[in-house]
Amino acid sequence: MKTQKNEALARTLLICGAYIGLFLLVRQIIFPLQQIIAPNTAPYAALIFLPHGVRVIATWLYREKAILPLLMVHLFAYRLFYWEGPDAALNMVAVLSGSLCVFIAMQLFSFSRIDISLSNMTISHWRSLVFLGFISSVFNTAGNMLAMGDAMGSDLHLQVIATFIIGDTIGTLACLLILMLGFRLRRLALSQ
Amino acid sequence: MFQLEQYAALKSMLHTMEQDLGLTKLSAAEKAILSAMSSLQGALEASEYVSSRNLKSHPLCASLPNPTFFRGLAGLLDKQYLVLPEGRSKGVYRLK
Repeated sequence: MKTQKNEALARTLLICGAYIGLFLLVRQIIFPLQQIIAPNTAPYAALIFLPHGVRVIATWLYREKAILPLLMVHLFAYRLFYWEGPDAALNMVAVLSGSLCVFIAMQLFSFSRIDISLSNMTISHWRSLVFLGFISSVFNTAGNMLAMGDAMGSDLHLQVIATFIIGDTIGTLACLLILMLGFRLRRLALSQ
Repeated sequence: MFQLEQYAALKSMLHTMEQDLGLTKLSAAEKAILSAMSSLQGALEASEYVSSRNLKSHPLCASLPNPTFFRGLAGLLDKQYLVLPEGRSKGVYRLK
């Protein structure tokens, strides 16, 4: 019982820490750059949204156990930076879609009998995760557009949708690359 | 055990990514051993090691000739993908 509690705590801290760290990286580095390159969409969606990678990896590894930590940390980040207007229900749609999008996409995969679990040795898992990042981004975008659609001009809708999907997919790939390089550097450092 | 399983899964996926991106040059035998190791290690406690006998009987390694299998193990030890318990020079391994 105590071990289970410790594992849940460790999992929550790991997911929340990674999410917050990468979220701050996006706010401090990607957002200012995007304001120069694509200022119209910058307030609504990031061109490289690294925390989506955390959602994808955490949900792939922990499945439904990742939902609560992701919900908590996404609500915290959303409340600080994106909360729009007085309608809490509408904002919560965006929060829930962000937290649940990967789980929904995984359920869809499971329903379609697409096995991306590690026991399936016939697939390339990192490619599957990038694909999962892309599919889940569709659900995330739908929820966010429902919540923020009225706050932006209709001429921006298509651009923001594209930015969301591109940002989430590239964010997933970038997150995997960061992890891979981190592990590689650690291994190289230990071998010297 | 649950946490270790996730760690092994993550490491295995990142190894594959490194290989696919051409950042590591592992032989087919080394790749098979790594994948088998990830799958076996996931079911063990954090302090436990996988024996070379168990590795060799894994479906991914079973078809490898003995010299190729042991050369692969030695290569992975050299490249720091695998570690031995302290004080041992062969027999049981785990992912680094």
